[in-house]
Amino acid sequence: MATTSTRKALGKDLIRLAGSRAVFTAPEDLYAFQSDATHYFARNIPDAVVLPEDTDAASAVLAYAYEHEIPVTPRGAGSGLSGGCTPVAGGIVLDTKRLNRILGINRGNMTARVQAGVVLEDFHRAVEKQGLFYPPDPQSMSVCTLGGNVATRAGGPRAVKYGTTGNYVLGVEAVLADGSVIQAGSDCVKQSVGYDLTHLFTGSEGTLGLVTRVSVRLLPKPTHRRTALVVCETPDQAAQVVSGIIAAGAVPAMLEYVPQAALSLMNSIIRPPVAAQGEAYLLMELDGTEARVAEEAEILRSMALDLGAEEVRIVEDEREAATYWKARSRLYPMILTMAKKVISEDVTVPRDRIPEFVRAVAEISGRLGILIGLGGHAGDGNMHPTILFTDLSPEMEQKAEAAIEDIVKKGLELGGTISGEHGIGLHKSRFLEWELGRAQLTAMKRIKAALDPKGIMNPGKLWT
Amino acid sequence: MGKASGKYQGMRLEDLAEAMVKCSHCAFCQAACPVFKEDLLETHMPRARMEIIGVSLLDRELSPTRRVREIVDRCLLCSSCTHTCPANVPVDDVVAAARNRLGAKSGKNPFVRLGRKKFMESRGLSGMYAAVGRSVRNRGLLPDELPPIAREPLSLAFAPGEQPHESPRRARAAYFAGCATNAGYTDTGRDVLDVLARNGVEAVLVPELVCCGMPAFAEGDFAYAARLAEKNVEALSRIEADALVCDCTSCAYMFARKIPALLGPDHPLAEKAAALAAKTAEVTDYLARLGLSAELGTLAETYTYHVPCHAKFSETLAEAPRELLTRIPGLTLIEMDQPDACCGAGGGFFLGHRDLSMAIREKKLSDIGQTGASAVATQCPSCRGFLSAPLAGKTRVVHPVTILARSMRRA
Ligand SMILES: Cc1cc2nc3c(=O)[nH]c(=O)nc-3n(C[C@H](O)[C@H](O)[C@H](O)COP(=O)(O)OP(=O)(O)OC[C@H]3O[C@@H](n4cnc5c(N)ncnc54)[C@H](O)[C@@H]3O)c2cc1C
Repeated sequence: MATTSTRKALGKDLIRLAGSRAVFTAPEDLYAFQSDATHYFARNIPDAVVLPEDTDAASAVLAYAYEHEIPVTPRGAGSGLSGGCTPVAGGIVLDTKRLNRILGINRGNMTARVQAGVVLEDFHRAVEKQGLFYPPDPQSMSVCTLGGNVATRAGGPRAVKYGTTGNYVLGVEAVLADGSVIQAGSDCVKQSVGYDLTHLFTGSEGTLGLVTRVSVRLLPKPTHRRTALVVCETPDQAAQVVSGIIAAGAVPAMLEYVPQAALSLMNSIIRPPVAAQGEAYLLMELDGTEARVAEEAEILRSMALDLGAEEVRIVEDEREAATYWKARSRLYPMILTMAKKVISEDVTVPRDRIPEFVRAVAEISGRLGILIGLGGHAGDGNMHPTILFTDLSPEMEQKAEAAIEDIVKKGLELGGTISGEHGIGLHKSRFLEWELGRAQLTAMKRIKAALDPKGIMNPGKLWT
Repeated sequence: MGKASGKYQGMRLEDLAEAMVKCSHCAFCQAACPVFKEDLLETHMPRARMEIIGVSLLDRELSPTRRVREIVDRCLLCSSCTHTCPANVPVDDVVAAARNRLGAKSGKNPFVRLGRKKFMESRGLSGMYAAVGRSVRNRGLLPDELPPIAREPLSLAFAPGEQPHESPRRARAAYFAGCATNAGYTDTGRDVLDVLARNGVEAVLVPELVCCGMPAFAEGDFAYAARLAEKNVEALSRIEADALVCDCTSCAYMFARKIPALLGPDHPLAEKAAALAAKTAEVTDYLARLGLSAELGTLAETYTYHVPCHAKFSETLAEAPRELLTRIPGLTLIEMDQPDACCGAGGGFFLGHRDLSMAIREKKLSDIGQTGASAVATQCPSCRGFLSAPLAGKTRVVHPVTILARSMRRA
């Protein structure tokens, strides 16, 4: 960590580059930028925080950092779940929150351009006002930024039908480590020019440069939506219903697997609360034309009941339905109220392997004697095995480590991936090679070295 | 005044520490915090405020510098974060407790102190103080955004005790008129009494009431807030009533949530405070639950509804005025964009943070303007004053109960 006087000198230089409104070096301010939503892992205080208001300022700061070899950590809302924006090496936090303008919504081309710091929910609201639709919906959407979404390839429940951020990004403007600015991709829905740097930045977790602008594709907003709740007797049955629905060709917009314990938590928000008693629930949203929604509701009802589900409830009232989804989006932080510490994994498996994965997690939990909740975006195979710490003892930590390793291994064995949405950041770097293999990891490191030869961009992330 | 004396057990920073560690750092409070949304600096978001309060006032890793004080003070205490927090962390209590620890601020100027004391102990200015207040105001020395100073406060205009009402009697409610209503926006108080009476509710006006204590609580002056709370709880517990009805959402929030917490479970008045809390309701929330028995007459007018921040403690409060107003024949309610976004007033917050408050208000005024509504309904007198000033001559701002009263009088 820098001393107070070097911090002051750094602050002075940064103010010259980005203006005094944009630079913060007081320790009281720096405390706010130590970590993301995974604060109980690593945290560290940066030496300065800069909030550029345009690309030029961001470029000037990066050119300066590059020259002086100062680490730079990009930051959006700081809602990440991998420690991605934790400034482990100190240096400068480059925060995009004031790059928050929606630059244009182009109806004729069904695209939009936004600055990287635009909050996802604000963007949803703006496009939906025009009858348009931007589907990616990480559950942190009330705060997370589009830049953060691009950097982590975020996705949410709607991924089952609509895919994730990566499926919508058409272009990015990015400032590279040395301060140079590139315009990758375009606003065209078809592109075939050279390496696809747009999608190289998508998922780059701030290690290649700072994304300052994003172009995305839009869809027309579906005219009808219906929320449905399937009450299942067992988790296994729920997993079977999921594969069944998908095989039958019904594509819900969202398909969430909610275990009993999670539903009781959600009941503090759902109005009126769900009275049913099942061990597992499937929460869905169907969308499309009125006829299509009705047809899918029918497929769903008969399929689920055939498979022995206890009840299929279609929630007719929109306001009631909204409380289900609000409760779902708050589930993770609510779980934290039940335990001393919570680690939420995001291993994703092919959807026909979900039943096996569910059984494996139950086995791991039983064998190690620790609590592992398992919910998730079942429709896309993205499960959230969630370890609940009953205490903070070293023994508990060890068991949690062991459980995570077993879960990750099992996921890979089933043809899955170690992260479906949160990214690698700090917390999953030790598993990276298991999934990628030596040759692919080396290829990635070469790309990194080519774009950021001094290694100033978000050091310590993806790999150490 | 100012320093903790150990009487109010529920609100020491140390006691809140356990709730503070429940913060999962999910950042959802960013979306709720009007100050953060304006400053776009994480230091000024609830998650960070708690972090900084923790390291400077609990762990003492950092000394409580001027910047710490600034961070703690740059909060409207609107409670939106508290009611957004999935982990139910009482962030507004943490901020108030931090202010308590840092020492109340306005305790220093003796004139301010005396004025404040007089104001809170007689629920607004009256008599000589009111006359002085009016003359100061007429000379343009008080901000336009403060509520007016009435010639005669409600507490003098109406005799204490049972008020007349239509029969049959459907309920009996103690009516607590907040300071700003009692001695400023008396129209609201008169309309509350009128609407209660027309709907068969016997209102009881209780003598010896003082300010609910919210302004003192917000400053972190817990000793004084607790003293006011004790007076009110004692006076209100002396009468039998089915409900304690407030016109102001902040008074309701104070009675329903803060007073029991402030006094703590071991206080001799704890049980009484809890009983009052359980039957506290803001007047439209109360009426929506009770159901109207009076007829509604036609009002061919358009309104938009601004939800006061302190409405959030009740799940039904924000819907209640909408539900009641839309029943009025001829009346159109036009929703503004983000009706529950803060207006920037924050009680007296705007007096010390003018630029910030005005910037927050700017967005609200534009949302109101876009509805084209001819008037704004809102329950909070602080919102009313803060919005009325820039809207003067263009758009009226009234308590929803006033609209109900006018409709009922027309039936
Ligand atoms: C309660 C909760 C629920 C969540 N649910 C989901 C979910 O359903 N799906 C999901 O995918 N995620 C989810 N997340 C995780 C998180 O919100 C997402 O990863 C989100 O995309 C992060 O955005 P952010 O703006 O907060 O980025 P940050 O956390 O600030 O940063 C994330 C990473 O991106 C980098 N970065 C940020 N902005 C830029 C930029 N402009 N240029 C380059 N790099 C940048 C950072 O360096 C860091 O590595 C959830 C988090 C919480 C707390």
